[in-house]
Amino acid sequence: MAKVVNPNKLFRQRVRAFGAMRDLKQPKFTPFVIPTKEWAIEFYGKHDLAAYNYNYSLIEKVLDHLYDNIPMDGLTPSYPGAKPAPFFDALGAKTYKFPGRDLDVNTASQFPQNNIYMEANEYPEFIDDPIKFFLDKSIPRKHSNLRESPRKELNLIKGAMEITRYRSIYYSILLKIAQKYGIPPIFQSSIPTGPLDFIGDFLRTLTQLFIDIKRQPEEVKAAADAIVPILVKYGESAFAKPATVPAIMVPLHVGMFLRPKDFEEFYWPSFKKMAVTLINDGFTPVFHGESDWTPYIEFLSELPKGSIWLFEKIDWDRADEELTNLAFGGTIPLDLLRFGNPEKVISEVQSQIDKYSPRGGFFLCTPMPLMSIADAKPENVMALAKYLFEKNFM
Amino acid sequence: MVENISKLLSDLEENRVLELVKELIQKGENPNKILEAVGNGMRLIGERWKSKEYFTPEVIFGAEISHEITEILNPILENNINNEEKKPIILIGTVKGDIHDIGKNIIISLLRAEKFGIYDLGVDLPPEVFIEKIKELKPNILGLSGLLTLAVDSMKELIDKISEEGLRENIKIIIGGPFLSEKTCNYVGADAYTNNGDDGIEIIKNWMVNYNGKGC
Repeated sequence: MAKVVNPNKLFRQRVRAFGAMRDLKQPKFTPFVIPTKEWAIEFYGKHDLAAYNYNYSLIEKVLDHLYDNIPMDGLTPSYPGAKPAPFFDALGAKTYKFPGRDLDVNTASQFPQNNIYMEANEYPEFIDDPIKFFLDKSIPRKHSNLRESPRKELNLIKGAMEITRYRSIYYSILLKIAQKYGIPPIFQSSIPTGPLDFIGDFLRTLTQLFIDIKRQPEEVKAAADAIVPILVKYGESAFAKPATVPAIMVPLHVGMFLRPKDFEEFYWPSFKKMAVTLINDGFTPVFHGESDWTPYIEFLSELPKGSIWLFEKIDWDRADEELTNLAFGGTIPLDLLRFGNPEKVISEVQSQIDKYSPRGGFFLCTPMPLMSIADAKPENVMALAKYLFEKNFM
Repeated sequence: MVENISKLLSDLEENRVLELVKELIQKGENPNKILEAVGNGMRLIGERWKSKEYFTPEVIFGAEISHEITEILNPILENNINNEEKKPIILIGTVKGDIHDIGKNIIISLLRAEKFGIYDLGVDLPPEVFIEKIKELKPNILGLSGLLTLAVDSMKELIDKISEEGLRENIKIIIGGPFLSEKTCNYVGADAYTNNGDDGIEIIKNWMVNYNGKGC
């Protein structure tokens, strides 16, 4: 389908639509994008998930098959279906569980929540100099091959070569796909997570973080503050200069565990600082708000214009009415794609367009990336994509 | 005095409640009574959680304090009481392919306060492990947990196998996960589902009382 329309023209139209959506203006059409992760691999169906973590070029056929059958308005590089397992292996990293190594060959890779890389009494050291703490403490704890040994430097070089190899293959594939189908990469860069989330995910575990909030609240707040400039730099460094829609994806999942008064005290200040810095620096943060954000709508309304939100759950009508400062998506429920049929999917999505597109800042997306083929029936996704493509471009 | 333990625990006054426990032990208080007060404290935490005064961190911190108290009591309990093994009536675990356990752990700490016998199987469990334990322990209730959407099909696969083995009739099944819905509940063949846990606790309590809790 995509082939009959000039890909260069499509590319420009899509970039403009995303820009307008981000700026809360009326785009010519409502952008449609679903991060398909492992779903795309199963949809292609030729190899085990595990194979893609080792043979990076396999993903080209997956993405070609995906966008040939399912025209979408943006590529989502920061939601890859595969991860470079040899890179993690070279460093001896414990940070992911991989299919074929730790999980069944067809189970999506996962991030274990139970490894502690910073002890409760180490907050002051971290706050004083986070980078030094990473180098001296948390990185060697996380990566057995980066602990002091004669082979440490060699392992580091091996890891650096592997991640460079992965990136060059992955990004050249993305470029080819972008040119062939006229789909701009959106959500290009990413920041691993928000500031307080970072303390939970990468240093303390969520459970310990929650206990720390009770036992050593001031240190927790100071640690979240200390990580902000590092996260900002990490996200922004992917761009030589701000692009048309320089989107930086940031998944968030700690805030909604907190009651609103704790959210206000522990989560919001460092998070807001990060969001405002990214926006003021000319970037577009795309926050993936996991779980239900309804209790925090009032906080979100404080943000300056310029961020895009993918909500997993929120009171959509309240968000539409009260969050006039940000663009959002996430309204296409997985249940609809999983249990519905093409007619039902199209009619529900069209009614969402009718309802929310007048606000300007609205894009069509599922509340979460698709992790397995059972998350959404391929015929439903294909029918929806075809309907939208014909409506918007034919 | 002992009753104060419940109040202090539910207020999450860690230092004060630990001091009080130590003081009571020195005065020769029956450790069993202290344990009972801890259970009551966790139940109060569960209530405050249900009323949305408390969120997940408060429940986790409450469980942590309870654990600290139990650690203090353990040496005395071993000498004092013949630990009566409770029948494991609730079997709970995270299904195949999913390694997440926060939701499961919260439910477990609150159900323990309700004095249910609970058997925690762990995470990323193939159906065979569940089937084997169901045969061995004959639980009344099976709780299946999952954070990721891929857990839906693992839940379905497991429940289908439970039916094939002829074990489905005697067991109530509740599934827990943020993405679950009535449709997914029907699809996998469970009796009930919960997105946030507090209604899950209620469903399980109802089942235990009259065995006709709300289904999906």
